[in-house]
Amino acid sequence: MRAVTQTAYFMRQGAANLSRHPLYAAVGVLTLTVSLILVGFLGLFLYRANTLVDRLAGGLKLTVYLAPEVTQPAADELSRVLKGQWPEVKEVSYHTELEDRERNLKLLPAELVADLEPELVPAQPFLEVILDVDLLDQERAEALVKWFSALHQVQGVDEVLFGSQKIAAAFSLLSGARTLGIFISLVIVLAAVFFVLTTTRLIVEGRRREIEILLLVGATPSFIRMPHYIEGTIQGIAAGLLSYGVVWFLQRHLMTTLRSEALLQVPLDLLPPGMVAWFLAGGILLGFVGSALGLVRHLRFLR
Amino acid sequence: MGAMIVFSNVTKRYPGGITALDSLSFDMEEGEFLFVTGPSGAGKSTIIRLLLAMEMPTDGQILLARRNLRSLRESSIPFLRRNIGTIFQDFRLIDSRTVFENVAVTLEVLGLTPREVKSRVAQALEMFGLTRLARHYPPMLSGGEQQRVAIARAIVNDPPLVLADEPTGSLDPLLAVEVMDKLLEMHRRGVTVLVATHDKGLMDRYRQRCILLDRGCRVGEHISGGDA
Ligand SMILES: Nc1ncnc2c1ncn2[C@@H]1O[C@H](COP(=O)(O)OP(=O)(O)OP(=O)(O)O)[C@@H](O)[C@H]1O
Ligand SMILES: [Mg+2]
Repeated sequence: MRAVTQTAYFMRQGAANLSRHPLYAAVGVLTLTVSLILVGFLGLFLYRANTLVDRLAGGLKLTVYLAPEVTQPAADELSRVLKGQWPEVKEVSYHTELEDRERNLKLLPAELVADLEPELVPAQPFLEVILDVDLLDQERAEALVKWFSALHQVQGVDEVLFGSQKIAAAFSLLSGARTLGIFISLVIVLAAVFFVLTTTRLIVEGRRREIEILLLVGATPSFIRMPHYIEGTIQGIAAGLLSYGVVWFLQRHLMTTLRSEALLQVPLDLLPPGMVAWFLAGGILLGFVGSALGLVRHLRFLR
Repeated sequence: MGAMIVFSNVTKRYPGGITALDSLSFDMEEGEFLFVTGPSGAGKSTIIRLLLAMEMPTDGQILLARRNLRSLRESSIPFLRRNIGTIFQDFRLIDSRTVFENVAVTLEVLGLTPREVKSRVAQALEMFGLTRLARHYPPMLSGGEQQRVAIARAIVNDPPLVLADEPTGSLDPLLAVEVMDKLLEMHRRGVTVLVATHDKGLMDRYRQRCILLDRGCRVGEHISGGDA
């Protein structure tokens, strides 16, 4: 019975606090909304960056052309050596002369292929080597390129081709993108946390007197905290919905304009299904944590 | 009847070297009324802050209703404060809550149901002539009215002890008398009341025990309202 009374009281107080201090309530919701949108765009950025990195990383492969007389067992032996020497080598696959010819045929114009004797198309067996970029660093990348360049001196190896991009260059682009991504994430998350903390501090500061009075008449810290948490949570829900609305508006109006002006070629879905739940969860989390942190240093009996 | 408050050789030093109380001893019976007086800086407010466990003594013992405040755990402080009604010069009302809500907090922290809260607050407001102001906010009230709200809040849960720090300090003489009369009424009902004040004229309207402090020491004790 007592617990029910108390819970009902906390709910009423939480809601009442919002209507007692409409300005604080509005500032709180706005702060949470801005933070959520920032973090939301961060998520989007990271997602895009990841796709980009994956695409680049996919290009980090090299082809080792073998002499025609090299057979599968010899090729397998070479694969083992490559893998043993370089942990960065993720995968080596052997392809026969026939497969190479097929691949080359696909690259030629169709009308040419039509009256061409297949034997006239040059082909030779090869090893396709796929590298694991996560293991590479700048120095290793350079050493690896040097080592593989020298590979053609080995008997049975004809030529080594480095994928579509130069590995070292691709690598520095990748690591640059990562560092930038981490840096931007850090800045955005720090900005959001700082923003929420400063606002809750200000709000709680404005209520210091109230808190002191409640402590004086015998309120326990949790008696003061609970309505505050509920208040933060309500603000979080409001902020979640509001930021969803803002992003929806951006998507609906801004994006269509951009796309129709052909300024933006990439299709960009800011609001995949289920996104509203993420905004709500993020809002509640931020609202709750913000209100909790803001209170910490004010709930002291002795000073 | 036992002792409600016992101070034995209580010293309070603030960081920075100020000695607010210097080995002070006095006691107060249950149901007693006591004035604590003395010049500014004598240590009157310090006594009240110590009794509310807002501070801990540097040395000496304080017993409150036979409990030693030194051995009080921090988590017990709220429960201690629920037995003490407090009144301050600056009223300490919550400006964003109505008169009714301000008086209600004392009962809400106890976990009473809204019904109980409502009827007991209504009673207390009635007693202090505040019923028609129930829905007003403190900043709209006169000083005297605000202090009546503060007193109603202090006693609405029938605490055995009331501590008042300069309760009349910001009121004009007429209102000061009114407030002091209320506190004496509490005393007549059996409540232990300690009033810190430096308003000699006001004290002399009443015949009550009075201890005089100076620089943290007790320098005298008498019954106020004598012929002096
Ligand atoms: N938090 C504090 N830190 C440092 N010194 C303090 C603190 N609180 C009070 N003091 C000092 O302790 C002494 C006693 O203060 P106290 O407030 O008890 O005096 P008082 O008798 O209530 O005076 P007044 O009549 O002016 O209210 C004063 O010298 C005061 O400056
Ligand atoms: Mg004082």
